[in-house]
Amino acid sequence: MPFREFGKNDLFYNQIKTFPKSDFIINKGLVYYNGNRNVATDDGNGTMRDRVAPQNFISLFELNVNRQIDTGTDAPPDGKSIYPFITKDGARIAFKTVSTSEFDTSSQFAYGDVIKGDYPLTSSIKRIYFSETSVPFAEINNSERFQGSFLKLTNNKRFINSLKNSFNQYVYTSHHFSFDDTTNPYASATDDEGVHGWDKAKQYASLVEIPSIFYGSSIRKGSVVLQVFYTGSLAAECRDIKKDGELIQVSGTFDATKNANKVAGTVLYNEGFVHMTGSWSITNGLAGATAAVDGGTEAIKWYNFAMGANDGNTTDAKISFRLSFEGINFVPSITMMAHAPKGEFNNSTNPTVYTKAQVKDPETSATRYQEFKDLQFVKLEHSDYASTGSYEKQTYISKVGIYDDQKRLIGIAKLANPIRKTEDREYTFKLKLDI
Amino acid sequence: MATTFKTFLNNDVTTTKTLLHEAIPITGAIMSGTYSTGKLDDGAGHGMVPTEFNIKNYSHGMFQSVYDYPFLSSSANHILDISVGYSANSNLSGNVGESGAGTNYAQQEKKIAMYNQMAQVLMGHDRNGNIQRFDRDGNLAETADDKMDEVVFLNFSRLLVKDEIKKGSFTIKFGTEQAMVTADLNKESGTDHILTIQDTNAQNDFRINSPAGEYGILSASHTAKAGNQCIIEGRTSTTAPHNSDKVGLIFYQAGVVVLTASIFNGHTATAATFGAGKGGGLLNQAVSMSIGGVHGGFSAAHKHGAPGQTDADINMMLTGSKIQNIANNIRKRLFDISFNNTTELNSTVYFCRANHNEFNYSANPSYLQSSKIRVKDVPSDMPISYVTSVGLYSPDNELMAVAKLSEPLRKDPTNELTLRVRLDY
Repeated sequence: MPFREFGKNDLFYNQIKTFPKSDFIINKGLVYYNGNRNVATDDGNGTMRDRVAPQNFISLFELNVNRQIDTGTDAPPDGKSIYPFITKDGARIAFKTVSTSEFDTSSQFAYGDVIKGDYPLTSSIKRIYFSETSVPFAEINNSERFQGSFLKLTNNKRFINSLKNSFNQYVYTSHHFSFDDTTNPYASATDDEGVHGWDKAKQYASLVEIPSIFYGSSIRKGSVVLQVFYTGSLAAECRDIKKDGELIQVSGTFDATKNANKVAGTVLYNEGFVHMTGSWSITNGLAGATAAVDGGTEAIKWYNFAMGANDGNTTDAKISFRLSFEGINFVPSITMMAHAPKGEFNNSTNPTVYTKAQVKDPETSATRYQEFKDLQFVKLEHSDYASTGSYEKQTYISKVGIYDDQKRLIGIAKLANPIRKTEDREYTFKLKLDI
Repeated sequence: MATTFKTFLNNDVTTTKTLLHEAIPITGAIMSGTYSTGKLDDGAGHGMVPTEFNIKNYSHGMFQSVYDYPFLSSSANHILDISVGYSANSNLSGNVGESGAGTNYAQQEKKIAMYNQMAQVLMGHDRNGNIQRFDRDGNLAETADDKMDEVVFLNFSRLLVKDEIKKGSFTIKFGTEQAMVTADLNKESGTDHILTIQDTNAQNDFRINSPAGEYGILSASHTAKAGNQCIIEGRTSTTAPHNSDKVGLIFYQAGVVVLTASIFNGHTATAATFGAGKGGGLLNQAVSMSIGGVHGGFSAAHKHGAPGQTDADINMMLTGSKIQNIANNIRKRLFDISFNNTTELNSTVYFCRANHNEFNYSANPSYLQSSKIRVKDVPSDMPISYVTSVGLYSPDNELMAVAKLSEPLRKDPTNELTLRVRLDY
């Protein structure tokens, strides 16, 4: 078959927009992803794994599936599982789990030493709880290096403070994204049920981190649903009904009228964070519906949301949290229009195109070389009167080969059924390739 | 924020290449055993045969795929493909197309086609356009007949090989107990007779005359120093000796291992070796193979191996058995495989130099407080700043990347800094 080059109007580059759905249930310190209950077993190192990853974690490449994680103690190939390693050298490349100080310490790794990592690489959601504090930082006075005093964030406040710019950039959609509303000149007592004046660095809050492997490019606006269940019954629910990132209570059982339509938190769609600050009780008076917070016990509030999601905490078995959302994931695709115009592709180099029992040896002499002299093509008839019809050049197209600019075959598209191609017919094959 | 740009000079930018490796151990239990659940009728007339859910056979029968988990699960990863083939020059190819009573030839054309396909990709063609056969020492110019005409192919998946197999790291071990039952490594026996094949010293001695990249020579050693399974060097016969220092080739970038089938065969046609193509092997006596790992009765009347036959050697299997059945036998005898792969990490290092009289002032709005420099109390003190990040700009002053420091660095006219910014890609 001859080659035919794609024209400028024959190639289309598109992307398919998909919405992968994720659903997390958190109950009694365990997380269930998309309804899966892991049958976890000890991996030999004390970590419970379900074939490939700990409970509710997903494995990046699913290496070391169903086998003991053992990277050995000596130089490779010591160990029973697949693991990466690198030799410490002047390029100063190491794994993320090796800190700069560890890398620099010669007692840990000398130049030429092997630095090991381990597989699988796993990921899951994680909740970070922030206590209320009067100030989020402490003053350090003893630093000669930094010319006296400076402010240092205390405890885990660095996690929320690092999102300050991310929150503030969405203030144009809702003032609830304002990180420090105490200095917000647009804070209004009449806006949003009179709630204003907060500083996210000081508030009680629950921050749920959602790794991008669960959603793709971003979380789909309006798809986030947060629910709190008490003994299987819905106690309260938040949704982003305005699709602006505000998580608004749309259902509740305790003080339902009073708490309806309150903003309980915000969601950073592009960054993958759910930040819950709602401080009203949603399970008041229900037996066992409490959470241990800061040394005390209190009814479940929105800032307790997702307690037990890989944060080292647990709740009573009667309390369940559910977080579901849809992601936005783009799948690039190429659409190729392969044309078979009139008068082309009417001949085949397939050996079966000739009638049987013919001599196909080439004729050679001192002056010439001639191939396949007077070979007869198979006559493909479509008439009840086969012997009376005139010969018509035709082929049956069964596949389309895609070649690169070096004429190397890089793909084959196969047809469900061969298509008859005669000289007066023209076809366009539409090929789509997801990449 | 600095107020000026500083242009990189030639000595300020360099590129480096770092090799990231992964240790890949493949145990014999994964290759056969772990995911066996018993025996099922294979529907091909062999009766009840062991069924392994991490082994995929195809209707085309050209090779067998091995996974690290039942392949119907999305958690499964493809590990390798196993196939066998022999050259049209092999003594075993003489009966291609034969059929009839008393003969049992299987997939002859496919095995030759497999050999030719792999050989032309891995070894290329000679000046006359003929396919180069696999050569034991990689020296294609010498006239000595040291070709490997009957071979086993192990094609490792790209997931495991990555950019290439690390030279000198490959090891594969086979159990060579003569009887299949004792060689079944899942029964934790047969470890007294382990044939170890390695690419020893390949990091210093490899070949570059393949169109598929670099390749090394595989050599063999054995735990048995005497007895039926010990290695016999330099046997005398009508064909070239099969020495233990050249039993196969490993193609590092392609991720393909080619082993001569003679590692399973006896060195002479005498004693307890079986079948046609007798001898020509590495061991004192041939190891026993059987269809699908199932032992049946041996029919002396059969010149070649038959389904269910116990005492089939590798030559009989090559002529009389399907590729997938030979692969079954090879997997059963596989003790383990170990190698390290390689991924190249390319980096550009930018040395950002701040001389004593540079970058001592900041244009950051927070640098000033009440119209005074925040970090300087006495007006007569030297200017001072704290470097927190380094911006890399394109020639037309567009910000391309920002490198952040883990902590601010003090910069004043009394010191000079060189910040080493590495960009990996």
